[in-house]
Amino acid sequence: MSILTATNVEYTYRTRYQTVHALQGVTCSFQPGSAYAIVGRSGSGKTTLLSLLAGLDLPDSGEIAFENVPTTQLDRDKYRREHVSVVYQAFHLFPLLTALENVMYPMELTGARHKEAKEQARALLQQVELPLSVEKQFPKMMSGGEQQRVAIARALASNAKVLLADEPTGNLDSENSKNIIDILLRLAHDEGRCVILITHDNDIAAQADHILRLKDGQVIEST
Amino acid sequence: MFFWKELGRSLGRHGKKTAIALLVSVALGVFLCQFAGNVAAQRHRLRDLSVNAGLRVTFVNTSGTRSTNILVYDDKLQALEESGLATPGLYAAACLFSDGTEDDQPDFRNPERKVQKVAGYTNDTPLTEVGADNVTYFDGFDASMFATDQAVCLLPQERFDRLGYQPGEKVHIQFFNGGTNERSIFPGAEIDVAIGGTFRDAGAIEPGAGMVIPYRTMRRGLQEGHLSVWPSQAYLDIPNPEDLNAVKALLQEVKINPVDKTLDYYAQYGKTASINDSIYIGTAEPTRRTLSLLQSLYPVVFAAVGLIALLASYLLMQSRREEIALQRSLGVSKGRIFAVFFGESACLCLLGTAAACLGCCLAMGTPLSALGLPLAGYVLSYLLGSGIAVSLMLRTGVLAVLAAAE
Repeated sequence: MSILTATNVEYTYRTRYQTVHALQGVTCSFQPGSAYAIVGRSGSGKTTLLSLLAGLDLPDSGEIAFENVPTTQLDRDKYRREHVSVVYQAFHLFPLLTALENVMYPMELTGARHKEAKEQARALLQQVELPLSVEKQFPKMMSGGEQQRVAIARALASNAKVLLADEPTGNLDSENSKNIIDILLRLAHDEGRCVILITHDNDIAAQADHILRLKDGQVIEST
Repeated sequence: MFFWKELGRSLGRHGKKTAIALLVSVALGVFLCQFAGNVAAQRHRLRDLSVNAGLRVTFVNTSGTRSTNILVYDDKLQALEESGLATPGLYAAACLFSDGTEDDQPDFRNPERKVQKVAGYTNDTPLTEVGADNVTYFDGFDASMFATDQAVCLLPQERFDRLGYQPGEKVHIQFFNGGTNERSIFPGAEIDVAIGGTFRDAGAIEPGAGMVIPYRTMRRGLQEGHLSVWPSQAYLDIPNPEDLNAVKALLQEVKINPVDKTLDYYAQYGKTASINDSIYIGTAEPTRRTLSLLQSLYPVVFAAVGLIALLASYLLMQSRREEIALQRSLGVSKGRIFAVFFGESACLCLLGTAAACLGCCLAMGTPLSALGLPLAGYVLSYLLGSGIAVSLMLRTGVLAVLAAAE
């Protein structure tokens, strides 16, 4: 059974100079326990699709459904808090929170007790192979690879079933990229999460279980 | 719990931004405290002037040189009294009465009428002016009787003793109003008046009176006989200087002219009054104008405060757009973000205001009580400005902000 589906999704946005038909009748579905790679050139609609899947916006027409419930009928704030997490290319950690506090943030948001949140955050940092010494560091003090691991740990903190990653290795060197991809694939295969990652890199895409190729807002290939 | 933690972090970890916002808040607070202090000082000054104004409408002759032995229209006095803008000071009038005693004497205008003179006063000043022991009130009577229209009277001590009256005894009298023509003595009402006391001398205003009664009792007695009282002296006090212009308007309405010394001395009496307002106007009016100007500026001040707060909050939050977008992407509701940022603004505003108030009270001696309402307006304006800024910031697209950051 699909955990997340997109059916005939269309989305248009306006810039100052033009109207962009970002998605034109995109239909796809995502299963738990699998890793998906969404590939395509710049402007093909990858990030737009990801933002709709993340519930950051609603499609103009068509439907995004989580566990068969359309996102239009969901409390989208709650959906983002509990069911879906996003990892960004630019990490997007809270700059004034330490690594540990960044990971604790989604748990505190859902009302977890401080002590429990702290223990769980530590465990998550260990899960993404970060040393204990990092937990008190602020993002500026960490390397890109470390920041992205913290971002992944934060994404895992809400125990979301769907993990969306937008170019998670875009700002990392090859070694760190490999480690991050390994972590994401492990989360899909070992923990049964649905991992959807956007990438330009064909080698990374090849490691995913399924590939979704977008061109001009349409799915041109799905394997 | 999350709210307070977020609020604490927001305030504590954005040190520079918090300091700037606090500085803005203190600066605006000081400005407003100074402004409100100035308004309070002007208001205080005006109140002092008002308390000590002692404004009085005095009926005078047309040249304004005499305020005694003139004839005033009683209906004008009544119109002023009924307006509630002026309260009677001393009215003094005289008419004739008969009590059937040997003291009634034939009147020179009409010897068939045997009458005496009765004085009507609104207080006992003309009697006490002669001497503090000139008046004796019997038990159950006092000077307050003069402010009423009770059927009471004071008799000359000599008459009281000679005629063998008892304290409180009622005397039957009839009022007469002496006209200026021969035989023109007109009868008024007949009433029983209780003897409330005695006096030795009726005073300089109506010397030789055989009885003194409250002015309003005289007014009642003559009006029942369709006659008029003709006070020879009258003034009214204006307790609230704010009513000065209304009193002047009323004087015009009842056709009482202001004193114009170019008019003939023998012009109509009782239609002319003077108000001792020159000193008050000279000092109070500029203060009132300043106060009025300052008070009318409050909306402008509040609007400026709100605008500055809006701009300051917006600019400070602009640098935290990414943080807000990230919170939204993590599922923090707009309401919660609004609460945290608005709470932060409220804390800084209140802190800044408290500091500004304290500073102004200590440094300039501005009374705290004078700052109450203006500060409430200031805080509301500030929070409104901040609230609008937060709301505007929350309208920014999450994706656009995060994408821009990449």
